[in-house]
Amino acid sequence: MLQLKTFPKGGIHPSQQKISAQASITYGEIPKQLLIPVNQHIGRTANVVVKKNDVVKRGQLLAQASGFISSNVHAPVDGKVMKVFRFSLLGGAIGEVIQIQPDEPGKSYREVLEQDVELSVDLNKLTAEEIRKRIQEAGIVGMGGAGFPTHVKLSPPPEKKIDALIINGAECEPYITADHRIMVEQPAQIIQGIKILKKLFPEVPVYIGIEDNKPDALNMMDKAAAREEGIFVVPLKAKYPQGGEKQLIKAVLNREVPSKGLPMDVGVIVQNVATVLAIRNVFYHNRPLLERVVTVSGSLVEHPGNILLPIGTPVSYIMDKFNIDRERVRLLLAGGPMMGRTCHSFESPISKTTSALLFFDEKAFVQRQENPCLRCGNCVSVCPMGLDVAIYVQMVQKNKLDDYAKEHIMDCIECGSCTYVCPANRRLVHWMRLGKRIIKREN
Amino acid sequence: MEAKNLLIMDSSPLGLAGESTRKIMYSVVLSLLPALGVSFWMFGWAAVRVVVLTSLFCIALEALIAKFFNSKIDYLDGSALVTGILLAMNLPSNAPWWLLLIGSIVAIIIGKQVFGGLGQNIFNPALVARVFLLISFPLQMTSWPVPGQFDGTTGATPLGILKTEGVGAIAKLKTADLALGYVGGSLGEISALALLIGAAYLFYKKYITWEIPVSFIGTVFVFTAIFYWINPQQYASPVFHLFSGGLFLGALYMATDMVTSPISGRAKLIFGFGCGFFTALIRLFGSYPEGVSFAILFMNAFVPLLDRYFPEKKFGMQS
Repeated sequence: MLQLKTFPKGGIHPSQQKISAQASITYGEIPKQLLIPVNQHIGRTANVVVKKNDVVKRGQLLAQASGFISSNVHAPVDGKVMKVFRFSLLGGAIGEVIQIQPDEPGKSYREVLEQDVELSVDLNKLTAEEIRKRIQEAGIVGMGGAGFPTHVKLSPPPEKKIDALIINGAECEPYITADHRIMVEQPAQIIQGIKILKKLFPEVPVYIGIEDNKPDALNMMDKAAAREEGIFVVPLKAKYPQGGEKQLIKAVLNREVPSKGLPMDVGVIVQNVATVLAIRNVFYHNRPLLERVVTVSGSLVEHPGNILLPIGTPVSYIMDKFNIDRERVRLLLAGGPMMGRTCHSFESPISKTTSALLFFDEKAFVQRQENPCLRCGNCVSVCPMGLDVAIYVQMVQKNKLDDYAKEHIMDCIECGSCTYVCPANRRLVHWMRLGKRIIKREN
Repeated sequence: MEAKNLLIMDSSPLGLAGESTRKIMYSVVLSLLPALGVSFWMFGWAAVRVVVLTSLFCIALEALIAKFFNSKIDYLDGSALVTGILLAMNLPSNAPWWLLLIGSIVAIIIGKQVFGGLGQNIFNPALVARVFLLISFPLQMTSWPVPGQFDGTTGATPLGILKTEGVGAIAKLKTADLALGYVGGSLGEISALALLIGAAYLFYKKYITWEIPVSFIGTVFVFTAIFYWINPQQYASPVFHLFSGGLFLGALYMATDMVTSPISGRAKLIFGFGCGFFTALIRLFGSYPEGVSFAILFMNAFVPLLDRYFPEKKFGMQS
């Protein structure tokens, strides 16, 4: 048996619950209305460039990036702008949304996609400049969850020499299978995307990291990559948070991103598989980022699945589609149980970073009774960053951070492993986030 | 809309591994059962009386504090029970009831609650109480009933004999008797084997790690072996030191107390070494025959320092 690669320190093994792993990607219909969030990325909020009653075409710009670290937002379908207003987004924040009334509600989104012609792409004619520019215009952001603008990640300063690309197909969060299905169903397209990225960093090897709990994805990607030079599939041990950027780099290349540093500091750029597929579609379909695959699962979903939906589709549409009983839902999670956010409205729309929607009744939720810290050290031993979580959290709670804590808290990747194993049920990662905020405010 | 239909909002992660304070504490209680069984066998109902009384006193005291000072205290979380049992294991089976009550008051109130309760205390509460009693009531704390003899015969512990009568007097003690518990002593310092069985369960449950017991016991062994090698006429053998007194109870149950021991592996090794070093020092050169409690309490004070200067290795930091 081949030694599986993994990150060395910490990590946990939560129940994987990949119930929808064998469910092929399905297609929804165009819902009666779409609510397109203006801010679906890390960085400055985009400026809305449409107004009420404007008629928009599929792919038309709705909001323009304001600056380099920002991202464009486009209309996923033909329709009319009804209004621009502030609304509850998935994850609890309130943000600006653009309400669009589609021209053809009820039309299969698959048909919409089939109308997009497949273009032939001559990689030799594409320049690095052009690739970056088109990715930027297409509003591509990291679809693994963070939503960092992809063109920024792909534009390292010249002094940072990039000598490896890693494609993140780890998908270590429980329940989520969106990337898994993409890798099984569209391996050739992912490779096309990788080859576009390779144009930016010629001669640089590409590693596709996939956890070994997805043997079919490993197999399909392996077959697709075998025909290509310099693209390697790396099987990884199924362990959370294997898909964390720094953990993935350590596992695949045994390089440690320095504290407070970025992957480019060790010559690496990491892209999620869904992002790579979106990049591919920019060039092969001339299509900006308009849709994504969402895993719909949880104890209240009778037939968990993976569905391709236009950005802006409200949760309520998905609940109807999957026959989810509204009265019974007590817990709605955007993302997985480890890093996902609880949501408070069924009308919130999905965004570029919504990898999963999970629906649970109250049985799935353990009321967290926070008890005093026992100093058992579980949080420290599972922390993949080696942080002294319990000690920092006590300081944060007293608002007395010493220099040592300030030095390290910012390295927290908020994976939630500490909270998961805490016998005293303390919301450790919550306090770590607060600590990060305190430090940011001070600087 | 009624409140019960509202969606739950909470901070991630939503899943839990299913550990709890109660589980840990009651596992510790469970792991102490073999050792308790041996002391019940050796000392009879007198030992049962000591364990029941200290446990009840400790829980009742915590319940009183919960009632009058801080209603958030969960006095049935098992921590008071663990303190009560550990305190009992540090006492002779003929201890009068008032001694048990004073010990419990010192353990729960001075050892634990004045610091802010569970998780906040710097020193191991049961040890604070033991040392308090040892200094305040030396007579009651040093007349040890002889195991297996229920007629009230008392005698000194092997370490006491060693301290007062010298190496020659302990020559007739068999190592097997020491390991199994056929020697005078407190409830918990008699059977190293039963303590090991209980601790194995805690290792299995990952509630304690190997670092502290191994470095603690190892240090005592090496340190006493050096002196035995230099002069066997004056110093007892390391094997004798290993199996006599409260070394196993201290190394497996008292020094590994989560609250009062360091977090990282390196710090635990140093902590265990310190415990072992001072134990051996007191045993060989101190005026008290036994040094385990003093050594652990002394090292407890260093825990914040050890946590700070020997932390876990950080990801992305060149060390």
